[in-house]
Amino acid sequence: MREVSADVRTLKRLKIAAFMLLIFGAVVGLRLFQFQIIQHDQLSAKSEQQYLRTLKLEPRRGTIYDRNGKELAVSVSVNSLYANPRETTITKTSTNRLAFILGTSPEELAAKLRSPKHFIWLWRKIPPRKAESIAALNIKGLGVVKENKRYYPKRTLAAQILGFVGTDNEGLEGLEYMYDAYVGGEPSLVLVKKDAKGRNIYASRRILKEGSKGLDILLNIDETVQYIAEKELARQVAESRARGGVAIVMDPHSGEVLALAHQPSFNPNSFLDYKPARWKRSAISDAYEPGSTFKIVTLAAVLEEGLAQPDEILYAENGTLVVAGKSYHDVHNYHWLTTREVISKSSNIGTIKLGQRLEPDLMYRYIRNFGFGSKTDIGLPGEAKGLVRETEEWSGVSLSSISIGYEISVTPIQLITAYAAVANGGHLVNPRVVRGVMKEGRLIKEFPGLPARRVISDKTAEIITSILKEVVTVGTGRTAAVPGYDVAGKTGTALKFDIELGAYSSSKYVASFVGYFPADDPRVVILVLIDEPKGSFYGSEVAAPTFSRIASQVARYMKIPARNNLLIAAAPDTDKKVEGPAKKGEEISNIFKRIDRGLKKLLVKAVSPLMIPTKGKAASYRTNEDSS
Amino acid sequence: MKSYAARTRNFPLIVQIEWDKIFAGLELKKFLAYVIFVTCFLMGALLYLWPHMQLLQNGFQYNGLQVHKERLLDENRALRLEFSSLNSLDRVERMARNELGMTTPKEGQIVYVALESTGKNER
Repeated sequence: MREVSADVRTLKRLKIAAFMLLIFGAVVGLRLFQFQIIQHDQLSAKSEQQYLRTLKLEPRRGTIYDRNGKELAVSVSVNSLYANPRETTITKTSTNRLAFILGTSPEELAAKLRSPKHFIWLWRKIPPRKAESIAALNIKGLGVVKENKRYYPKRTLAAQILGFVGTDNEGLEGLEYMYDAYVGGEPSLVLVKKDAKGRNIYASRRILKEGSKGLDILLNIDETVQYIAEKELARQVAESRARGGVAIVMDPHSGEVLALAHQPSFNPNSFLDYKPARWKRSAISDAYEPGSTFKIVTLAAVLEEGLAQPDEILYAENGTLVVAGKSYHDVHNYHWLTTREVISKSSNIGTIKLGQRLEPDLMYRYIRNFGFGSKTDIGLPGEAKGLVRETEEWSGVSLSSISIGYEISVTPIQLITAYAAVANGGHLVNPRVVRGVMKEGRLIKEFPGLPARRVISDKTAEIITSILKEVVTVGTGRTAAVPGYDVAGKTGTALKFDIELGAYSSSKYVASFVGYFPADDPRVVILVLIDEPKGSFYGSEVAAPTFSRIASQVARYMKIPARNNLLIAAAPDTDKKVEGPAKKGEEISNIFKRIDRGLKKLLVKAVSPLMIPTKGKAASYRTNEDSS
Repeated sequence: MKSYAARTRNFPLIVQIEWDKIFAGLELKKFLAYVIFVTCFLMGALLYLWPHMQLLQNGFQYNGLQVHKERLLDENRALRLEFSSLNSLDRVERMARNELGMTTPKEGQIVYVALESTGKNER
């Protein structure tokens, strides 16, 4: 009996246990139903979030090269330091050390690390050595992510052209801004699975959005020519204690801009250390009254229309001419001048008299034909059109003033383009800074520019060139002469209009010189503009010598044949002459046979030199070379 | 004291596995068939899983190599940047003047070799 009751009790217990299990099973079943059926989508998405991760792969910004493939702007990977304040454990000593490396105060850093956020940047794009120092501190909760940083290895060189980028690698200025769509690239979005250790499982990789690497940009700018132009411009601006300056070097046939130099300059690696005014490209964005350099437009118009002859004589009114109540003066008082002399001596009165032979509408047409009043479409942001008023707005003195480069505003790039038209035989070309876009070393897109259009005849261009040569040989531009070359050019000295005074300033000038060489077969056209020089302010004293220095170095660098000569080299302290003329196309080695051995070595050493060894050093050069 | 079998006889929920009987009734052929079946199943599972495992391993290895390659490329870019920076013409000119004692050639130091004729369009 006792045994039966024990079994019944056990059975009862088992039944209760079975019931409990059933309840438990039912609960589990219901939960399963809830998870698997009702909340399936929501929970599966949540679980995917834990092992799937979308990676945003930032594209590397393309490189900017000069015309010879030298890197002017490059991107490299650097670390950016972040902290997870909720996980960061840091001692006071470590805080002090980290604050010292970061260049901040320990209190400020501590406050940052007390933030309730999960992620804060401590230093974006940190220099590699600093990153190493921070890693050595071994602070929990700090981490680094790779980001691309833009560097400009040539520092201030062509800074205004290149521009710069922001923290997130977006183009903010210059070419970086203008060609951002090409050079910036597109980020990719990739979905990857992570394993338990957080490692990417490559096999599961799925591309959500196909990105693209930034394309490279190939410029027409030549690093060496740009350097020469910047160096000589900086020297002149410093000597003249000027407000600034511009120098442009351009191929007159193609419109390729070889150099576009500005002073003062800035370092785009640390652009925030400079005032925004320095970032400006004055060569294309600042319009100014050009003064005498504009006289070639008047000259071109009267010659093209047959209203003047080069050797025709004009009376220069002994230095003073009154037009509609306004007096015009020459620097020197002249009586009778030929048309050639009017330009070579830069007579305002002679030029006004030539200009008065034109109807205002005709003068206006020539001005516009030469590209003034329109953007040149150089391919840089912020280009100005200049100011060319319609003839209806001209006063009684406008034609006279405009003839000599007043009452009109032009940009330096417009002016040099007009001179290029004369230099190349009458075609107005489109100045271009960028040659094209490259991908993996191949040019995939070119920017050839607008087609050239004829503005004056070949004959008129030839006459103007012959007159401009006289400017440099016997006229106001003698200081622009380049030994061994025929140079054609024009000086300009213009008073600046003072907006505060509402009148022309008596002390602020713009000195300029625009010219090209070799005059009969021009390879380069160069503009030099010095803004507000102190002391000497004439274009002939300030800008023309700078032109000469730039031109002579560019000639050697570009191996431009001199006047009926082949420029070979420079040799130190020698008065030896080469015997007999070389034949056209003759091998240089044959020419060298007629030169003594010592000189030959130096010539070989110094082919196309910008610099040569001094006398003492030359001897050691020879010794080293012989011994090797 | 009753045996465990006797005590649990009336409770169908408790299953008593009588291994002796199972093995006693099992023929050798059947046993071998079981073994072959299980082996084939395991082999099949292994063949199925092996490539996946290998793919996973290769993926990790590939990722590792990608990271290494990227690191080397970064290093290369950094070195090229340094090279480009060291080749800056202002630095080169400064070194040429100050360390090598070089100078800009003056007019008398430039040698011209005359050509018999130079065509206008010759470049």
